Amino acid sequence: MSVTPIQPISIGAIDGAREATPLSSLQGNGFMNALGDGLNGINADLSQADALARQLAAGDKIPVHDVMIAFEQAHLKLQMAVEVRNRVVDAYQSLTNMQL
Amino acid sequence: MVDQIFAATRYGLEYERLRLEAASHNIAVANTPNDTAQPARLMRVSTTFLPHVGTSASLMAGHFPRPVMVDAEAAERKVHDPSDPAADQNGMVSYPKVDLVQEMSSLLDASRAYEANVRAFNTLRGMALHALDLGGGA
Repeated sequence: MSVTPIQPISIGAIDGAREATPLSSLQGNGFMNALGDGLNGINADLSQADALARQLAAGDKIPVHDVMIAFEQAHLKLQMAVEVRNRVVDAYQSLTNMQL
Repeated sequence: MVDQIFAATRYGLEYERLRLEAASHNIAVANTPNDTAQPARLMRVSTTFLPHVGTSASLMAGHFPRPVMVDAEAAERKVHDPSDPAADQNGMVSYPKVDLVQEMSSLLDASRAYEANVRAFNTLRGMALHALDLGGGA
């Protein structure tokens, strides 16, 4: 009577958990650049509105509607920036509160 | 996008304000005797450029040239009044010929058009603010 030996089982290497490919630094810079450009634009609009308001107060011959339009433009852009900030903070919080 | 519409509205407001200014000036000089050396000039707003004429790239980008006020020769209106110190040797006093009816109607028209421009601007502003509300209600 012969006993057949147990054949060794060969298992291939177990795959390690696949690492998430990190965001390339280029992408991060792109987002930060966009954010910075947006903020610079808002800053320019705000300072233009400020300068127009000062000129009007100083008695320069500036039509009132120009000043109001500059105010509104700055207001809209600021509101836009605030909404972007809200969305980014929301996204960040949903990630940090995620249960693993 | 919004900036271009702002520029268009701004052009409209500027134009209507100048029209009002010109009409006020014309009404103001309507009853002042002409100085013989320097007859009164009537004001008109230049309409050589209108925003809807031509669709060049600069217009689409919102760069509207500013409307300008130009002065024009006024026709004479002579009134016989020898007691006036401004009367000439024939006793005639010369006034600039101003069509008051036309000036009054352009006054009213400019005022209403200014309002319309403000309404358009506010509508656009409201739309932009509503657009920012998208998805933010939660």
